[in-house]
Amino acid sequence: MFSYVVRRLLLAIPVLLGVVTLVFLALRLIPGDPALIMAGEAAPQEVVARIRTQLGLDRPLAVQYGIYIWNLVRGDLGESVRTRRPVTQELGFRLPATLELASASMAIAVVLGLTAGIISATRQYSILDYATMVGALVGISIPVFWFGLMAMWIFSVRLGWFPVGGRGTLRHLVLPAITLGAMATGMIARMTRSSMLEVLRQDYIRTGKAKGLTERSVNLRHALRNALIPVVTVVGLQFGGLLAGSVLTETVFTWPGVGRLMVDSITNRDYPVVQGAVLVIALVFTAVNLLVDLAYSFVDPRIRYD
Amino acid sequence: MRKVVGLCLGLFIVGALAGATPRYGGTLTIAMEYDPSSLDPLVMTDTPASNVFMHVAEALFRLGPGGELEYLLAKSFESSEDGLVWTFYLREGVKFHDGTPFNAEAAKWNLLRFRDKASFGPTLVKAITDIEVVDDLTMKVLLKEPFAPLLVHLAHSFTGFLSPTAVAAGVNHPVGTGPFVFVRWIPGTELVLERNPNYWGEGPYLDRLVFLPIPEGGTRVMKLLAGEIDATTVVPPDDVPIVRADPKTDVVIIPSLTIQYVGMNCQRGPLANPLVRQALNYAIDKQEIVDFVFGGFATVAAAPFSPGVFGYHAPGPYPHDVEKAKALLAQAGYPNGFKTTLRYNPGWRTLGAEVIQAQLKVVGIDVELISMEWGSYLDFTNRPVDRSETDIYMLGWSTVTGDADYTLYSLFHSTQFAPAGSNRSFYKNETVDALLTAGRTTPNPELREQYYAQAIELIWNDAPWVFLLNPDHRYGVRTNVRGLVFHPNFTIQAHRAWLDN
Repeated sequence: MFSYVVRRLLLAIPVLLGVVTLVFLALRLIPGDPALIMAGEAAPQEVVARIRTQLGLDRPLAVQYGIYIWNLVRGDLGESVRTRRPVTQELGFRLPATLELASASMAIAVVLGLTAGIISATRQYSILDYATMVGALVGISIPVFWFGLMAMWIFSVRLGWFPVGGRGTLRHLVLPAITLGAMATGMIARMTRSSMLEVLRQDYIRTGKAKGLTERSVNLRHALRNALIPVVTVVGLQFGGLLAGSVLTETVFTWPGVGRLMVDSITNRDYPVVQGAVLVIALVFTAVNLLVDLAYSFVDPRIRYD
Repeated sequence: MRKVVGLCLGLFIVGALAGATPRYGGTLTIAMEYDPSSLDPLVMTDTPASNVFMHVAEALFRLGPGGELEYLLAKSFESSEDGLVWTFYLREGVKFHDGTPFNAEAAKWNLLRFRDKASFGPTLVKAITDIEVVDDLTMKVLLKEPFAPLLVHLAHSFTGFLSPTAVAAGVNHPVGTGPFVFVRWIPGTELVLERNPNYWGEGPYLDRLVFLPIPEGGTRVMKLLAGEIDATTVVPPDDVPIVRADPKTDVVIIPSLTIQYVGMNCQRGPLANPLVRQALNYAIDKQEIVDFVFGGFATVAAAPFSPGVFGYHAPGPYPHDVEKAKALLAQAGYPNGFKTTLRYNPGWRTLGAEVIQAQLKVVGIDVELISMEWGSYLDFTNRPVDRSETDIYMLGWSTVTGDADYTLYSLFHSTQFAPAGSNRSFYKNETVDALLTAGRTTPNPELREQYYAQAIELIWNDAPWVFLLNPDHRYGVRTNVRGLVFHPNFTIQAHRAWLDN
């Protein structure tokens, strides 16, 4: 187990190096000059040239890459082109916000999604089943922008229960977490349902029922646990999606997360910030993947890592 | 009182007529579309930065309600006969927020640093060759040649003075002399200013001034309706009725100093022919774009910049006349039209470009729409003339100094061809060049107005642009806010604002 984790961590290094190299190259291959964007559309050429030199963008690509990697090894992600603050500082503030939102959304999605999926599967073809699955479909397909604004309109402006946006108290977290979690909730509900249905048809379930176990015990102890493996996979994948795909939610609710920072930085061609943000998200993604793989062995003792 | 449109120059002060006794204290929260790109005047370029910076730092002058010059850190000035030496007498007893005294040395250091290192340095104060400190509160600014817009350029908020001590110590936020003091800035979250208790003039009523960056228009409106913010920039046109329907909120509509235009490459393809460019001006129904895309909150442009700017002269607008457009095209040798491209960056321009495409189809011009992300778009339109592949493009420009020179020289003088300047249409007319040069080097205002009127007539006729529209600003505000100034140059000024119960 321990050696497995070490091996996985070592494997993460080439993955991360690949990610930063790709991002480094992609940023420089797309058209758009950071110096020009920074100087603004009204700027004379001399200003653009001066900024380009200041940013070191007039040096050869290989030199820029070498400097970047060398600084990276020393833990220096560089300085934001726009704010002139260290990238680590920009991310240090944004990352907790993103993790907070993603975790809260995932918690909501797991609780709601599992419950809905179990209810649906155990009462297949009932009104409740149809209602839940239609609900799940809506959750998956509803546009985040519209859903967020409607939630805001009803619960913040009309009812005054929650603040309209921003980060701070637990009450600030509720609406964005539900909005962001809606899709994951739907996915988990559907996955739980189909996986449960499959397990419920197994012989050992019939045996369990035959030997007089309660419905509850059969469903939760025997069926659910065996049905969880594909669900855990979906949870892991969705969590990655929540990290990187929260841009719309963050924008609607003015949540100061990494997603928005990344999109703004791409627009401004703030190379160091984009590189730093992608690196951090790749790191978290890798970590979540590892945790999911480890979680399999808890859910299903037959799976072992040696 | 409500829904009054600002008069003449469009400045608007909310609650100015209410006549109640101002109340001290409280926090005023203003939402903006974006965070400032920076608060360092050396790299600042945008309106959010200007909005914040002007409360913290002050320049020699500022532009008042009617676009007239108001004294800030300058008390008076005089200029030599030849317009080459300007003597400024500075306000006494002014201190920066860190206690450093403001004097001629500080002013000189700031202006020369701005000229040499700031993004806006070349645009605003390049004309200054040197500055002499005469005594503690007097300085002489020396120019190589007369530069008529000098004073309005010294009223640009970006030229605001910073404490030399603080800059030398590497303080990374602005330390100025303004009515508010910088407290903290958490990008993406909030920017907080606090009242300056030692302000030299009439100080603010407010204790705190907070700016929030909220990119989504719907969210700004909800926040305003929920009372979480007191004012906001840019209410989406569709949301104006909602904000007006609530008795606690209102929308302030004022004309801007901005022109939105459709530029044409005067050196390439059929568009090199002025008759063709005129035809496009007749073919495009500007009013439809005003109504359909801007919800009516704009005016069809009648000049290359907006009314209220010094030197304004209106030969237009070009009427919508399909037959005339067709006749001009035939005369130019394109009776069956031609194929061309229109590039733009997404936003309202997506819809605008589609309308234009449909309208040009009517006169036989087949337009391919190419949407480009902002960075790529700037890059593309900024290529030098011999490598330019631009045909038609859409951009906007704000005459923030309130002086014709700021727009005409940068956009229509042939020395300003991109990338050196902002003449992205590669428009060249030697008479116009001469008039614009005369306009900036002639001190006499009446003469300047004449030069600009002549230049505008020529530009209008040569039609390097389709002169589209002047958009209105749409601000949202809570009705208990008093004394907040909405300036046509897109700044919100809270110096004397206060909150009623």
